[in-house]
Amino acid sequence: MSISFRSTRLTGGVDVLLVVGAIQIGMSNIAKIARQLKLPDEKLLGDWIVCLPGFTLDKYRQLQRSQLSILSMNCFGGLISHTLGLPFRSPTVNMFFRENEFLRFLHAPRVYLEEMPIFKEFAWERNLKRDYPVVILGNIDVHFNHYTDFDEAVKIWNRRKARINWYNLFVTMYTDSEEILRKFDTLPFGKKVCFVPFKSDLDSAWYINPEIDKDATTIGSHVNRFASGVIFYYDVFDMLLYGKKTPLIEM
Amino acid sequence: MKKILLWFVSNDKRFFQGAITILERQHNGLYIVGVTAGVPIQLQVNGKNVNFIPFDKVDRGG
Repeated sequence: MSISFRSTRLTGGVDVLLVVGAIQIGMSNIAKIARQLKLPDEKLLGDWIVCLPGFTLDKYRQLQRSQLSILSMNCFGGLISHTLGLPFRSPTVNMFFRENEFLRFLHAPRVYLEEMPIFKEFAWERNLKRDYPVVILGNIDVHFNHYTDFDEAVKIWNRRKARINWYNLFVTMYTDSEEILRKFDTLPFGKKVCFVPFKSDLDSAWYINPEIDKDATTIGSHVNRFASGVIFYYDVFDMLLYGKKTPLIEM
Repeated sequence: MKKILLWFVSNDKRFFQGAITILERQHNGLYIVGVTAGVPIQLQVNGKNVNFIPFDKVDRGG
């Protein structure tokens, strides 16, 4: 193995434009700058992404080209997209559903996404210490807990829902309940993952041992810390590309 | 062997050496064609100077 250097002006194409320090700025902003500078944005690669467990350039490029959309019950989709430098191709970002309402949503996502969001009420976001809008979508509530303004939340929801790639969906939630897991497992999605703090033989059950990460207190916080890249229980590339369970930690 | 161009967008080099090492291992070597950034920078990798290429000199040919 070796590293070679070129000492003259660049004249040929490159395979990779390795962006150093990109985590400070975020890949979506980097991509915008690259387009302004006319740099080949399809060759961009954030340096931190290379260091994620399970990374290979082939898998990462495959993931980028796959135009994956993540439907998630909470922030998971947004967090993992950010961790992997992938654009948001889903409206389920910066919001959450209750478990049963998310299951209802997943039974007919296209129908629910056609519904006009209606303001219901403000609720208290205890972590951010501020009110957020709760919106009715048909017969379910959507909690836009990272927004303070109803109009802004709906505007972004509508913009992002237009980006969904229905041909490559990854569907995910978490629960403490075996009953909820069983219902989720029956859903007709090719790539579906339900994180649970108990062992189960169901294919869609992805066990997270709550003893491993002592800084997380609930299954929700375990899941969010996984999505944020704090701790990797599973290979995220195998998970998002194939729905394949490749544990990285013995649980 | 992969041909790579480095683009420094901030001073955060936490992941830089790790990324170079992983890419070098996974592709049986690396060919670093240069480094580009908003301002001229001096960079060494494995003790060797990397050629600085201003944005406007970066080949867009793909």
